[in-house]
Amino acid sequence: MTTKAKKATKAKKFVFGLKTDRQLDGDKMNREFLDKVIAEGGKGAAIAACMQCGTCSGGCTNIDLMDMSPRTLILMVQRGEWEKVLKSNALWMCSSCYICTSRCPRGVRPSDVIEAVKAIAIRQGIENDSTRFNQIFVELVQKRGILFEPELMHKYGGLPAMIEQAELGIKLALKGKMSPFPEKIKDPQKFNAALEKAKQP
Amino acid sequence: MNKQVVVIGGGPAGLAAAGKLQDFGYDVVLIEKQAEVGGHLNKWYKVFPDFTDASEITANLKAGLGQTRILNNATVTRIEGSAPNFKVTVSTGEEIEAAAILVSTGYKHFDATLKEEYGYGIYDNCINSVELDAMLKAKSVKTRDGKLPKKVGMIHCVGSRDEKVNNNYCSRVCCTNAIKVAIEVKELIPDCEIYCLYMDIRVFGRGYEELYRTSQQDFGVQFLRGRLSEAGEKNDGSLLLRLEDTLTAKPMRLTVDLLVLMVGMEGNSELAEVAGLTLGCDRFYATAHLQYSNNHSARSGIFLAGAATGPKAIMESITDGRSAAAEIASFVASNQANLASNLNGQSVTKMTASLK
Repeated sequence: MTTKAKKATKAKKFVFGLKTDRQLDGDKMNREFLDKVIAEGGKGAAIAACMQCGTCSGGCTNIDLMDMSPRTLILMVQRGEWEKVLKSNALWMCSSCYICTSRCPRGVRPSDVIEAVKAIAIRQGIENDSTRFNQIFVELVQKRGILFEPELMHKYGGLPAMIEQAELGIKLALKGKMSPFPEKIKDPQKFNAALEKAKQP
Repeated sequence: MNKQVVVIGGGPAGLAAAGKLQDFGYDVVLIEKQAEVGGHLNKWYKVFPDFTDASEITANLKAGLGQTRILNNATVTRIEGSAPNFKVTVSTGEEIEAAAILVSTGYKHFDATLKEEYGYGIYDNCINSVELDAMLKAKSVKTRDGKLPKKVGMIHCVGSRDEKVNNNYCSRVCCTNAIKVAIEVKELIPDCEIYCLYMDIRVFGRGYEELYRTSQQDFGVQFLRGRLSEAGEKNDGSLLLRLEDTLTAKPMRLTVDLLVLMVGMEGNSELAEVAGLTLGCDRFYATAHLQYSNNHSARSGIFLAGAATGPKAIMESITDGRSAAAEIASFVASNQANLASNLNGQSVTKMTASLK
């Protein structure tokens, strides 16, 4: 396995450590990924209508954390560059603020595209801190009907994370923004029934 | 009073002008180099943005010609005298009296062989937009081997915005035309992928932007931002394109089965000497003023219309021809008693410099 991986990296490099994949292979462009995203709920997202103006990226609130701008993400979806999109952290850095979508002059909905791509990625079994966080978040909400933040911190990052966030937690608790004890909702059964219903397609 | 007007060139601008001038009551003589009037319209299949048949436009313009006298297969060899007493000598030997002359001699297509790196005239599957339109007219778009192309590349700005071929200007219509033909090819061959290689998409007219959007959304035409640098032929006759995908700032290789060069327009300066016309730095005829005298030439009594004064779409040429007809009517009626009034109170200024 390791030798194979080494070979692969070796093949990618030319002499002097130059990378050979600097040039794009236009012949790999295809519609498959685009069709998948459209099927996943990107139907109204008007992906093909994108004219690459960059309004989305210009207004993006988390662009400084992303390794791929929303404009490029749409372009990569159009061209079927599934791996590049999947590797990108833009999917997980998106805070779904919808500024891109509300400002797009062509009616493209980058937020919806990101949602659809994430759904495909999760179904394909992608695992990273973001997906783990989301999973824990959902499990805890299902358990109590309401989030208990220290519990989330513990499950996500263990004791070190709790200690790291302790100062903030105490401040929040003192200001009444967060309860130090787990809260309960009035009617958990009704809430769970609603959740079950929401899960159905 | 001499009420005869000579129109040189029977394309959309000339036809539209002749029609209006005879409506105004002038005797119009239309001199056309070819055996048929219609100009480039005779070559086109359909016209953007609404896919009107080119033949429908020609038929409409011809129907408005009325008593216009048409001289086919004729060119102008000499123009003597001055307004309102011109004497126009035609290649047939005939001499025609004219109170005013309209030059609507249109344009020529850029000769794509000058862009050697694109391989026009060298590679079998490299064609220009005129040839593609002929294929569309015949409803058969095929590679030289007679196969249906799976991938087609459309190259914008061939012979336009290019100092290397001495054409710095934008030919204006090629972007929209590329989008139009892309849609037509998609309709003919639905599973064909089309890549438009552009620098800017300049779709300026009414309905053009909508056509651009339709091509993307409903027909899946793909746009790659980057000018073609070179094309090379592969063993199977397909062409390998080398360009930069400037949207990702990376060089790209792309194979296409058919390469279509959207050739631009070049000025038709054949009459410059005969009619005493000056050329702008773009080698189209110079008008008296770019803003308010754009149908006047620098010479009194000689008018200009259509693509003779710069690249124009069909609809613009028709409008420009009619605008010239109004200018001529006003000029002949006032009998240049007050020439300045025809130039809106301004004397003719040298505009060749102002185009820079």
